[in-house]
Amino acid sequence: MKYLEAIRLALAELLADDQRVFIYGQDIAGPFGGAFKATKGLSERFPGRVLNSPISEDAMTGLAIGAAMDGMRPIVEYQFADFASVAFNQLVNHAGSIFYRTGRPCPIVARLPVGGTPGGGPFHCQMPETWLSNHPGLVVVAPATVADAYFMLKDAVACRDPVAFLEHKYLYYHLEAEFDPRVAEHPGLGRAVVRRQGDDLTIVAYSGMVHHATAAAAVLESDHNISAEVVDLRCVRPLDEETILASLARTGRIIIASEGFPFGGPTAEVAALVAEKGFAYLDAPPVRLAARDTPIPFHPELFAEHHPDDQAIVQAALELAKY
Amino acid sequence: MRVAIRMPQLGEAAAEATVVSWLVQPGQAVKAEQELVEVQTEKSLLTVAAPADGVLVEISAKPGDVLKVGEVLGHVGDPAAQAAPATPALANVHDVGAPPKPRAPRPNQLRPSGRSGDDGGRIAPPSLMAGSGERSFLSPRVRAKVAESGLKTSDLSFITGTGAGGRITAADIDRYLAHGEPMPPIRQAVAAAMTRSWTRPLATVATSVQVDSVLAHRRTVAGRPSLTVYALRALALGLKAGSPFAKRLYGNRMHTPGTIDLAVAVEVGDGVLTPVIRKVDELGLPELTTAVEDVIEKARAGKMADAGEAVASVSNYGVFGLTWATPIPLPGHSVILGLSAPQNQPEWNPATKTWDRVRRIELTLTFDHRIADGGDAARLINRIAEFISKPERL
Repeated sequence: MKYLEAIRLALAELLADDQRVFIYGQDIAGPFGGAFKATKGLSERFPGRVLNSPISEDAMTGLAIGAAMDGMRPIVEYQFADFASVAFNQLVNHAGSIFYRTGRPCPIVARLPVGGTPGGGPFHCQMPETWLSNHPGLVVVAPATVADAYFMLKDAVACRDPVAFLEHKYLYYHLEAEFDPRVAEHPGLGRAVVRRQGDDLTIVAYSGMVHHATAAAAVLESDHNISAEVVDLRCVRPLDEETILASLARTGRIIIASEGFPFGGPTAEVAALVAEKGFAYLDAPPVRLAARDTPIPFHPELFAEHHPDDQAIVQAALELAKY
Repeated sequence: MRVAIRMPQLGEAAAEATVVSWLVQPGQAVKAEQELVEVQTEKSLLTVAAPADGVLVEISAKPGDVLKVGEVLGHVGDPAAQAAPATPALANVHDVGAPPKPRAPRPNQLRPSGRSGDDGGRIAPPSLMAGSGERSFLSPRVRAKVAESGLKTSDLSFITGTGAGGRITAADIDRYLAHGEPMPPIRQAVAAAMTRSWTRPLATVATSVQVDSVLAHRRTVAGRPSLTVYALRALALGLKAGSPFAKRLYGNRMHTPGTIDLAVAVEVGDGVLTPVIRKVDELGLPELTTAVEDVIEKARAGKMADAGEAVASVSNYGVFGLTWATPIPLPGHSVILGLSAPQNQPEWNPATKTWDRVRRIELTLTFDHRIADGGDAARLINRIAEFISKPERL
């Protein structure tokens, strides 16, 4: 099953199991089925519950918030996470603060296709977790596996808080895994997972970067005799501090990798966590790997240079290991 | 053609450096100026760059080897030249096919190991910057480990660091802790004090003195003072009479204490305690006898009566029957006076023209040569000997 298919399966089951669930977004109804076909076939199976919205992220988010406050479980699909900046006010000022202000939950799920693809350019590749996770009240998740895409989407809909659900566009069709929802493991929202165990250093990543991290760990092991542990955050906010610190306590060295921009964000947050609460575990300064501090280039070769990949993580790990 | 990779001139002072690690393996292609091998001088961790494009065909210096400036670390050349006979490591042989000529290192052949150039917006990994590879660097993790395991910073000098630049790692500490048990605290204290003291230039002068008069004199004094008491008193008066060894050294500063305070060595359990007796020059023999007995009793009971700063001490190694020894002055002390066991010796008596039996002891005076010289030590020990031979003056 592909990552996108796991999302579609979860959506179908959510619609089938819970009458409060509906999906709202631009061009998501049949026959188009959304920009990435996540909802393909769903409007036909669930008439009136997979609804096209006007081309206004602001409006569609506001409608979903109202519905959620009135007892519904709306799932909002944004064509690209970049465009959710138009709904920033609705997400952080309204959805994020409603429970605090009124005592009424606001259980919306914002499905945000994130991450870079070659030729995507500055408005179709960005990572929104830094600006979304800075605001209290939002849960921000970034599944990296087929199983997580399925289960975390279900958990997101079950969650009484508004959830930003970051789906990596590259993984949609490129990540495929044997997956049986009946037997797959299912850690809850807010838990990080050790994807690969190691002794010499820890690589923390989330979303698509997890795959670069595990590929780098394999190279480090086979070519350099360095045993790297990979921690998949899964959930950017809340952050699973315990799992990160436990891994660092074993290894003493940490790399935090993301394809987001370098200023602030989860990489900085984990580095701060490590400095504040994990100082006595450190053998070397924490290393942050992030995208370059420029808008994302169109040209595939420039794009390839713009964000960290397996090779960048391997290089950083070699430096770190000898510190 | 093979081009030798030579140890470049490493700053102004360093004449040699230790190979830390090769960044490139034999058989790999290298570019001129590419960083090839990390070397450690006393001051910093540096990298040596490739002298030419080619393939690293041979490594002749392995990690841990110490090479002088100009010696050969390895060779860059054609892959075909790999079959060429190996150049003996460290030998002063000329390169195959290359005319022998001294090579000045190119200015940029040596550069601090680490990050170079603009890295765009990417957040750079930490690098081993020049100088950061010192043994003395302890990571937060290692510091925590040291504290947790009850080690002292001074213990770290006994641990071999296997990390970058010889740094101590948490695993090195585990390996160290796996050996035996900690020295008892008193042994650790003695070891630390003796090591500290031993870093000074110490020298010993000696003389012998007859002690019949002292041994007779002590029967007339309340409390029957021991030889140690006489020696303490003689040392105090000798120091007071203008000896430069009455001074203490603090770094490069000389301090003259207002009083002559002396320490006595007391053997207890696993080690030696050195309680201090204040103003020895102002105490008569009976008072000094009481004071010495008092501090010995307290020390043996595990109580340090006075662990303050003294300027010198007395060690009566004669109680072990020894005829000669060179005890080490305590840290901060200028001298230590040693007493041997009394020996029966014949002495020619010109008045009676007979050989008489006399009892003599050897006096040894080990001194801190930074404070004063052999002549000063000789004058001090002679004065002490004179006091001991004429105990009525004490």
